[in-house]
Amino acid sequence: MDRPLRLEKEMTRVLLVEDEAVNRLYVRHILSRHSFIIIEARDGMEAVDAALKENPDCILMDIGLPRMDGMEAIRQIRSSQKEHRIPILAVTAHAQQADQEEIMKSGADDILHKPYKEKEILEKLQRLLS
Amino acid sequence: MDWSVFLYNPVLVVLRVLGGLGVFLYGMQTMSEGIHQWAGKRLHGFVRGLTSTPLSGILTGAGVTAIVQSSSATMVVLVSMVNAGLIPLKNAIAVLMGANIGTTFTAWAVSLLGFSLDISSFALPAIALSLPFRFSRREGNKRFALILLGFGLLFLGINEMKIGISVLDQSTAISRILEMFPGEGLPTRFVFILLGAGLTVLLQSSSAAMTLTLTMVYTGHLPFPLAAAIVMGGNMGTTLTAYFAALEMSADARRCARSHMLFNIFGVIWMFFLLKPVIILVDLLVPGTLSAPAGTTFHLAAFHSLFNIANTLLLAGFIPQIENFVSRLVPDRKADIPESGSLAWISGNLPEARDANLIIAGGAVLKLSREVRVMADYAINFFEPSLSDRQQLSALIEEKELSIDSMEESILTHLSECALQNLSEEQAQWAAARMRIIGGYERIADELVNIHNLSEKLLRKKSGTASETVDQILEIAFPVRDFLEYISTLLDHDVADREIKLARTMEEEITRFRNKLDKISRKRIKSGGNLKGELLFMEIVRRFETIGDDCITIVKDLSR
Repeated sequence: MDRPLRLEKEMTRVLLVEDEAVNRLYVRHILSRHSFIIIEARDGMEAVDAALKENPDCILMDIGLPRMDGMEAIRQIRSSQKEHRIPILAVTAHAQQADQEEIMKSGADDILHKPYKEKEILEKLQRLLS
Repeated sequence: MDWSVFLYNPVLVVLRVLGGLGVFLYGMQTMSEGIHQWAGKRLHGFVRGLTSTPLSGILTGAGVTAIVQSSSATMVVLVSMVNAGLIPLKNAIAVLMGANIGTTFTAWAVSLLGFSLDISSFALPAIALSLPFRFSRREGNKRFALILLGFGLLFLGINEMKIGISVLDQSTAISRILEMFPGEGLPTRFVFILLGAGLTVLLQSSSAAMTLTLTMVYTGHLPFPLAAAIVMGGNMGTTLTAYFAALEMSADARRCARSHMLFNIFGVIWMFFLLKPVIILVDLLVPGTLSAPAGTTFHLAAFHSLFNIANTLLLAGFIPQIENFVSRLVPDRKADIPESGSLAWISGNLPEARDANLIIAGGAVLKLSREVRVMADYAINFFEPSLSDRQQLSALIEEKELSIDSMEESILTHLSECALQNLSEEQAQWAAARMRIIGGYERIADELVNIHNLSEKLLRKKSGTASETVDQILEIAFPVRDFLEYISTLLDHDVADREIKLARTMEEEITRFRNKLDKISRKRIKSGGNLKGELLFMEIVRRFETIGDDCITIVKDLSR
């Protein structure tokens, strides 16, 4: 009886915020092979809700999102969770310097540029989680 | 019979002036054709590459326009680049400001060569010199011949105009027409601004209108303030070419043309009221005096430059605001490039019109490539286990295929129209490669439809297809999607060897995945797996690999 419980403990819970279905499928496809449990949100508002309710170990946040963009969602999560800081990896398609600064200022811990390979996302996640 | 009666007949003389104008226009066109063949592609490279800051944008616009001698030409290329998404609107606004400054170079060149040095005696020798180059086999020499020939014709035309107008001098026709206008007050100024705009539209060239005005100023027929008003009007008239060219283009392209128009109208408005003091300033700056208006062509050139430089200095700091304003003025259309129906076609005899049409085609191929990628996304997303409505997704895929088909059709029609124009060898090759690339995307779209049909069968067959099988399909599907995305980024430039190499490794990776998945599937069949299911699986995997092959064919077409 205690086996699944132990497993649950070892698995890292990642909140994946992404509006495009195929990208969600992609990340799930990669991460599910590496003992991650994935919680999904499709826009900024869902992301803030899920971050507070589920308290994940890490957040993978797309920046271009409907309803509320990724940066605003990061700001709201940061301001409502003062006691501990969930590592947030921002995902963006635009590799512009100006954007990067703004994203880091909003409270992200690192940035992953689209399109990314399996290796890149795993490395960045591991660095944030260690 | 005494023919001199006819020689001084005002109607004949006017016809002679207009004939000179015709020769001038033809020379202008020939010269710009030559310059364009010689430097066009490089110049457009500048427009794309050197526009990241407002200053570099303005300088680029000014330099390119001074070389091609036509702000309309720069603008037509600019709007088609904006339309193709090659440069952002913000950068284009800086370039169009520069184009206004660059176009004033014509007045200086014509003043110096046409009136001051009286180069007309060199006009015919220039044409004679062009002959040996004309019959040369080398492309470069032929281009040089065109430039020389155009140059000669241009100044021959100016000379005819000069003679014609000085003959007209003997009748008092011009002064009698000018007498009809009450003084040089604001209403007269307004009429002459409209005249300048109308003349530019009629001749389709602000340089031609400028040269006609310079000739009148040179011979002393046109009071300087009125000549200045004509030049101001020319600034407005010249914006119409790009305006009409952009009508069928994307919102941003229309915004770009609109910015040029508003920018120039703004300049005319403030200059309308400040013309007197500005003319006094010009008189102070340029040697010689304006009190005797004859021969003051340099003053007019200086006025034109000062006017456009001042207008640029006034507005260069407000590029984001201008962008904002025109964005509100020209709202987004639903589809930027119409998915069905034809692409925007730029007519007219500017050599740049051909480039612009090719740029439009290039932009449409880029868009097509993105649509095909979106279709691949749909096909892949079909494997999403939590998908609630598979039928809806199937309908989306069908819809996408139809719209991709009609996009292909309209780009092919557009390209074949381009091919009927007088394309350079390089351009013809480019167009042919684009046609093959479109064929490649057509095959990819067909494969995606096949993959989708097979996936439907596979998922229906084993309702509850093992997640392992789906995962394995995704293992090859995602690299194929990455590959499609990567080729999209290659479409807008000359591909480098490094990029071709990367594409090859992507293709090899896909082939490796296919071989690996094939083996796995065979093993499963041997150990008693579902034969029909495995065959479907292998077929899907094979078709993904075929898409990889089509992708590498596209890359080869790009690198040729």
